[in-house]
Amino acid sequence: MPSRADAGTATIPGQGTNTAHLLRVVGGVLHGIGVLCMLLLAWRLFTPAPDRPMMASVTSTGTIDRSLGELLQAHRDTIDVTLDGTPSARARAELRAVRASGHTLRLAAPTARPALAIAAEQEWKASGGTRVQVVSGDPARQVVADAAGLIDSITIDSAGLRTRSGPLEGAVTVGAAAVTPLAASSPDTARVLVLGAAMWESRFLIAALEEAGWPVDAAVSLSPKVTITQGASPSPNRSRHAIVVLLPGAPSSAIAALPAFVRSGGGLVLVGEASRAGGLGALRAGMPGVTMRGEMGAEASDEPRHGLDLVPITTLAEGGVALESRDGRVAVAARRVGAGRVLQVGYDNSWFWRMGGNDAAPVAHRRWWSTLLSGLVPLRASAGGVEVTPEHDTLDAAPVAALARDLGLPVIRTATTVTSMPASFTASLDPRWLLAGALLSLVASWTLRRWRGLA
Amino acid sequence: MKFTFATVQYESGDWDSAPLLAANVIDAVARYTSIDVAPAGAIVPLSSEALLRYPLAFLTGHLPVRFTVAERAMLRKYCERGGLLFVDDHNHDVDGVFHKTCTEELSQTLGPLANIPNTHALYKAFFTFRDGPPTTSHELNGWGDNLVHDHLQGIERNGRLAVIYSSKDYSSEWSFHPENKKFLSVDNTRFGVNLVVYALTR
Repeated sequence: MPSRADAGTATIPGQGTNTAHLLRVVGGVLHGIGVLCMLLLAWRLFTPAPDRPMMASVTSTGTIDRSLGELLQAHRDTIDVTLDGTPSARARAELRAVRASGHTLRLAAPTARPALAIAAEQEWKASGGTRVQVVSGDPARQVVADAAGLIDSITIDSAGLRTRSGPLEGAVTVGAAAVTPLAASSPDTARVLVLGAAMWESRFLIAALEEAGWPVDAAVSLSPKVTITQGASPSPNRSRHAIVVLLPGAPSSAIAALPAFVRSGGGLVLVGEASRAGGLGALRAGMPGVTMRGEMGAEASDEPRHGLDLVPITTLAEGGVALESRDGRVAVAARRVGAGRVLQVGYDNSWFWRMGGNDAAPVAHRRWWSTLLSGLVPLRASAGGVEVTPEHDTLDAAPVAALARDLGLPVIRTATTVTSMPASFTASLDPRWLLAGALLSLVASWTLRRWRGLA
Repeated sequence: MKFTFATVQYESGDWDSAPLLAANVIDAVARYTSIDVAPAGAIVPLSSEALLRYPLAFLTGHLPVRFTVAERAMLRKYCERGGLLFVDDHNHDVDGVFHKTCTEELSQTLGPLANIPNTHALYKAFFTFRDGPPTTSHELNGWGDNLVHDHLQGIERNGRLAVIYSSKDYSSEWSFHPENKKFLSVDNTRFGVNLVVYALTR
């Protein structure tokens, strides 16, 4: 039977065996960790990391440049941007630059915003007023209000567009959305210059515009050496004229000045055969086609412009937008050129609508022309302030449309989807931590082995 | 679309008393300007909607003028919409039947006639007539009312002349064969150019 001392002696070797076993296990684990870190390090180094979606929250307050700058420092090919608001013109320019630099840009929005677009512009006409245009994919009733209170409710019909004109105060709200009306230029700079030959169209167009309250200058050619002028400046002058209306037979010297006039922000209306004038190819909204005669007697019908001769616009230029069609042919189209706008009106001899139309024809003719020209008056920001785009001397009047044009509309993703998007395992392995882990583990493993040997 | 000189045909009187006038005015317009002018004039009934296709129309005669209801309505519509009617008394006689009846009809239909000042844009529209309407040989010869009329008369609509009324007898003055114009030392149809240019530009 072992003595107490034997028993004690017998106990001590047992304890030493357990400690050595424990040290051996720990050493083995550390060694394994070290080897694993080495293997992961090798895998991380020799396996290309997949694109890691880089998240950025872009607002319209101008933080996009800083956010994108930080992301681009990481040299990622793909950048995901979550829009939590409508990006400003500057933010869109930054995003365009990122895309142009070769990066894949993916836009997302956390929530589906209501498909509602509002444009509010002060109308340039003697009676004043603000034109509010609402476009919605949802045919619902919308409440219109201004700073003074509720005004009206409008129901968006199946066409999706409703226009309301009237005197409004301050910001205009439609539903939950609000816009600040853009103001037309002052009367001093909203003059219209009519260029053409002495003929009924120029005569009645000038009369209609003056009756609608537009200040009109005119240069009407009578012979190669005689031009009748009205107003102080018979040639396009951006400091005096907002819009030039070009009719057939205009003096060629005045036509030569039109490209610069438009690019510097002026509005140009090309009427009928005048769209064929030389030197205007870069300005036209589309190619003028073969002239079609109007339908006899239609000028007195409910569709009076069917009775007018038409120079159809056959092929729209880049950026051209059809505004009105007749029998499937584009009759009125518009496009932006530089900082200005060009409106191409295919109808010729519209004066006969005024003379030969029904009882409402004189007013309708006057109103139609005035409305067309209202869309060309350069706008300026009212007191609320609207950002001016850096590339154009014009207002950022349609930021959502510009976003869709330049970058495409964002994909709707819920917040959960966006935030839970996992980073890949490979991309999450940092080589520095792996190396440090491997070294520490192997050194610890080696130290334990040495300790066991000494013991 | 070309400019077409239109002569108004009305039910009463002799609307066609100056058949060569249109050709002379057309000749003058083509001679002095580059206005795209139709080589032949048009004859348009005063009561017809077709009148609205000719925003400048010429009316003359010797005989009493009485407009029908349809003619009055169309004349009113024509002037309201921007048409310009040039009326000339072929008798050159303020006591004559044409003058009395025609001015009466015009006044009843459109309002009273008033003198057009001799500084009016009409007299500077193309050629300059510093003394107002040019005289005619019939005035200077003492025919008709034996008067040299200092002014034309007019009726305005929307700040523009809608009717120009003349007692000077341009119907006789301008009614000659166009071939004979070369014998004139000064073309007496130049004021016709002013009428056309004024109508087309004001």
